[in-house]
Amino acid sequence: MTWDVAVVGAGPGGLAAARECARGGMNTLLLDEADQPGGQIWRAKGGKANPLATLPANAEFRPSTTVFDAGPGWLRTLCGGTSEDVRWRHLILATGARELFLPFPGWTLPGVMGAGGLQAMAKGGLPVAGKRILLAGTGPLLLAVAAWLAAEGAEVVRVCEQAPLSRVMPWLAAIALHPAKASQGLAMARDLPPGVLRFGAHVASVEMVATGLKASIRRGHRSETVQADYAGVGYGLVPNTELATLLGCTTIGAPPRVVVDDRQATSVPEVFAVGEAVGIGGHECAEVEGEVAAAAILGEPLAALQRRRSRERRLADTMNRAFALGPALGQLPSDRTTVCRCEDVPWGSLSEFDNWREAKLQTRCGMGPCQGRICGAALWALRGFGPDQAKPPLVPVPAEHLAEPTEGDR
Amino acid sequence: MTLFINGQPVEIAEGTTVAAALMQAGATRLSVDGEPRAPVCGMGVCFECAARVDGVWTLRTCLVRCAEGMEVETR
Repeated sequence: MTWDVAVVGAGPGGLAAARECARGGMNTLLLDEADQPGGQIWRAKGGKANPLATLPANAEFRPSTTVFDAGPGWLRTLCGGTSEDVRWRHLILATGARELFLPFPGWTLPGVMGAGGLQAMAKGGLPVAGKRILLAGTGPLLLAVAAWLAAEGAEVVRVCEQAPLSRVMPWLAAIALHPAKASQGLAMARDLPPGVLRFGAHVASVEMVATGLKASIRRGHRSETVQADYAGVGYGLVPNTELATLLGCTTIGAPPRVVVDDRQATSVPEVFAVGEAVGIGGHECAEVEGEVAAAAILGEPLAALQRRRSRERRLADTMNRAFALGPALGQLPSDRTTVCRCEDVPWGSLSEFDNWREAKLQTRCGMGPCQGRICGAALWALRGFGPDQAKPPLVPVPAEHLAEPTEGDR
Repeated sequence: MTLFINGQPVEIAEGTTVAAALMQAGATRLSVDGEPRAPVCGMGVCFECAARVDGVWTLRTCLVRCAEGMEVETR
């Protein structure tokens, strides 16, 4: 069968898009790699369903399903060891974002995770009550994770925001005018343990000692040492654009984001993209963009939705300027610091290259199972390396699935 | 529930991901140069939580829930 609409990603954007498409009478399929809908932001604890992530009526949801190849009118998916082709007339990419991890001495030690990564692990059952936790990096996610961990009984020992407070102020002023976001922010500030937050501070290095992790924190010319059981270090979010790139959608920027018009249409016919994949904007932005894409497919009026979308995007631009990465972060890796975690490629061996493609061929940087999703993003951020083209399979899959013939024309 | 991580029985709460169980047990994989590694992203991107689950190499254990009697090997 051919679906009227296939939606990849069941976060806020994908859920909104699938809900609206199904409401409009479209035969709609929603896919996600996770076993529950909700994406990263609406992830519930212990594999339970999050009431915020309501599945659309009349749309089929396929959990634990990975898209590893795609072309015009088709997707190839893997679910529980079985591959299956999905045929579509319209495709909505709601592939979300991942955390940006930047290399520093000690970032590969067990117990050093992402900030969102640490929260995802805790929601996945890692006990955090009574654990000493250091959070560092940048962006509103840090405070959200700190407040959540504190409420779970963790001892949040320090929260290091790399952006100076002066640069964050315009964003704080902007969200103060936005009732829902302002009350969200105030709730976070209330849950945050007093005295732990530092602006203009970053983790310079981490080492393993008998009692756990020992982190060296730098703030201007000052430095301090903090001990913790776990460290969550994340430098904001980068869009997941691999599937879009494989389909031939135009991307822009470093790190890249999918280019869309005011109908959320990409450069490829009948392929739409919404939410973080088209630029980091948060879940309210993703939701309205999902509604725009659905309305565009259904031929419904767009103007009111587009005005809401523009408002969300303007606020997101203010946020992204506030949390832009400072130059000190590029000085953190030593020549011996691993950059590519899959292939253990050190920072020093990359100094002679000025583009990622050359670095990959010569050093195997980005050639491991994550396919450069971690080191590639770090090298966009720190060295300005452009993205490489995406090739199937988008994630490693057993060879037998590659050999099977595809139903679609290739 | 009980699962076996590198042959050792580990008590894990229902709903726990295999990656979170590995972390709880202090079980690490070894990188190509032999460094111990543990989960980082928690969302199926970094592949640092790779392990063998019931005899099958599973590259992203953060996407897999623990089941009673599951056997997980990290090395």
